[in-house]
Amino acid sequence: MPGPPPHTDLEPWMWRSLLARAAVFHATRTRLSALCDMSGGGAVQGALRDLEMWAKECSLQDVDDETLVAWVVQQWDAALTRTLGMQYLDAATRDLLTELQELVRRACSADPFRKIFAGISSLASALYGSAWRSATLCVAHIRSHPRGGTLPLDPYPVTATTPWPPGDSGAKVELQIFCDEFGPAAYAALPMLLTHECVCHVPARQDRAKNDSAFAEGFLDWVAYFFLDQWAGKLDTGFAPAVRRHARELRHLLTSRSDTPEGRARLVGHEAAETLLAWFEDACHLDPDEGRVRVAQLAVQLNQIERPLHEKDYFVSRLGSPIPPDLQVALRDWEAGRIPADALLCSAAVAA
Amino acid sequence: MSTERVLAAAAALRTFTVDELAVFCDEQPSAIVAILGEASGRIERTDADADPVAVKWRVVDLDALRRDLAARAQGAQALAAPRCTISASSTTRLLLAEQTLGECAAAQSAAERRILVATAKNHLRQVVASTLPAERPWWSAELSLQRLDEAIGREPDEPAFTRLRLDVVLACLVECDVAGHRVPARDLVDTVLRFQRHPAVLEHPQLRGLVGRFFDLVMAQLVPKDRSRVPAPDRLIAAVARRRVRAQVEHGVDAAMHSLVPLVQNLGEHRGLDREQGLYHLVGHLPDGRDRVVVYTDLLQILPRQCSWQPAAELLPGTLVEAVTEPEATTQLAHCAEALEDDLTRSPFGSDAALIGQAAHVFQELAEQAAVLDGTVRARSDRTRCELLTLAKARVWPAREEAS
Repeated sequence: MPGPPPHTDLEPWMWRSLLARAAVFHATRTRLSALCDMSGGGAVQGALRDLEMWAKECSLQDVDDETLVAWVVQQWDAALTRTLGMQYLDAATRDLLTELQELVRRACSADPFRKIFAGISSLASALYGSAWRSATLCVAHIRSHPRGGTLPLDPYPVTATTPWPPGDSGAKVELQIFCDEFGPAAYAALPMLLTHECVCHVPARQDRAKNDSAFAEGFLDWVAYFFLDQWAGKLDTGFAPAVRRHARELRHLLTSRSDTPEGRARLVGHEAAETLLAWFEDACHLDPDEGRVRVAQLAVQLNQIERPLHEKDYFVSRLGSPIPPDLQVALRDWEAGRIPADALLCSAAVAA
Repeated sequence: MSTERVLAAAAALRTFTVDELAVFCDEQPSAIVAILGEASGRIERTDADADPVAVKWRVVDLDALRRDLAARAQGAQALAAPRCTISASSTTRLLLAEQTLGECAAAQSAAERRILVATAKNHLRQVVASTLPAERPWWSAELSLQRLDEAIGREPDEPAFTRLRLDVVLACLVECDVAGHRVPARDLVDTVLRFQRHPAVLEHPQLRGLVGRFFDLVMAQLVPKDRSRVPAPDRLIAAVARRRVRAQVEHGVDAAMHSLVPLVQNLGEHRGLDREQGLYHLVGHLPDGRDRVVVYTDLLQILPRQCSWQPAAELLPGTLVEAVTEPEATTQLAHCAEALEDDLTRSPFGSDAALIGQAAHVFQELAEQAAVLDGTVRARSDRTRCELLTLAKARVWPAREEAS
């Protein structure tokens, strides 16, 4: 008998439909970028439709995860064989489908969402040290695209939240997926979404959560992208190229939207991080890589300070170009290790 | 631009006839001759006696001619200076500033409100600095409506600039509110008058919310610091007046702006109205036997038709009028005002909303009494009560003592 789904917010059939696709995407993760590139039409699009169809079909079967994944793999493998038997396929498509077929045969039923989350939370835990708050992942279904977008303009029908305040047992990260449109691009974007939650929200020390916080949703978000770039290879070398690429594309999508409060906070926070990076390069003569590390360090330290979020937002609001002289002095002191980040925050608050 | 083109062509050709030069510019020969004639010392005719169209011209001081052209180009550039625009990135920041200012109403503590205002002002300063190059560095950008009007005077009707102006005013008003500073009535009136110059743009749907917030903050400035010292009837009149003018915004910004000026003049600092106005007082008797009274306008709605009256002047928008009344009307108004004042004075409730609700309740009783003489009083009174109850429920910018 199959057990209950590992994510209690999901109906069993929904979980089976998701797992079937996620297991295949995980097994083929080294070729996900190519799969996305060639999914606009032809045989590759057909192969993805086949996968979607078999995932739906298997979701109706009351079987355990292992049987489910094995069955979907078998069906898709057979479908790929039929496609590969067609004469008209061009070489690139044939090569890709052949590779996918080989890769998918190694698919396993282990929960790929938890696997990704475990890797990211482990690295975020190392980053935050004793300030890290334990976190659990739950996957949930949403009834529409989170940004009201449509494929292929926004192929990321996924989002994540970390409800505030955290419970006694730690933070709960909720990965929300519009299952009807869950495809390879969405799967490749999951590490970025989870990195954002783990870097920005899980260990946060603040008085409240606020979607339009330029610090939490903007400045720290910039840092989350930085860390994902550093961590992608450590998390999964084979998956890293697709992860980095879809993180960039997701970032481009999100930062091109200023029609929502969180979109505006993200844009302004990113701009503040870039201003600070430029200042580190110019005033402290750091090379860009070192500068990025310093911005990330500072953001992580500020995130651990038990102070109201509006004080951190105020700090970000002062990171306009050029940075005000008094803040430059404080930043130099912080950069030279003469003052801790909380003193920097206080000096900014005093200016208010 | 024709002069520049003619001179530029002359500089290039050096020696030419008017017809030859005409090929290289957009002017007619007669105009070219006039332009060349004005460039004496730079360009001269080679044969002073010949037909001006057929004669040859030559450039005698090329450097001076080029300097003239450069100076003209600079002047033209200044005249055609690109319209200063608010970039997309600045618009994003502007909207974030608005969000931050909006949070002040609900902020728990004065310290939090202070930081929120300072955050919003940082964003606004950066917008001003990136929009008006003279306002740099950004932290020294002046956030004043007057300064903005001077700097962006040539683009007064663009919604984006009006948004920036509104945001700057909102930030200043919120800051004063947070600090407990009173904005002098004359400054408030000056601000309102500045916005009154551009009524059309204020009706823009995207600006309605901001205009409403502007009214909220002006109203907050008109609330007495220590309300407990103001007699309940006067508090009622002021509260109803503020809320009626605020409600006008939803129907038309222009009319609301016009009502705002007398409201500020009468209720702002150094107010025009006497401190203890009451709901009614007799100003004097007229030779024709009628009376001149000052009365809370809503009381006129519960006068039976037999009690005639004419309005003479509006003292406070929508709330207090001077009227000429027949003696029966005078008596009836005095009676109703006394009943309402008695009830309000005994009220244990401190808030404006409670006072307005209480007045609506008394109106019902007074209307029932008047309905014995005239049944139409009921309908008129019902309309007034409904409107009063709506005003009582309207959301207002929290009074400082309530919010802190």
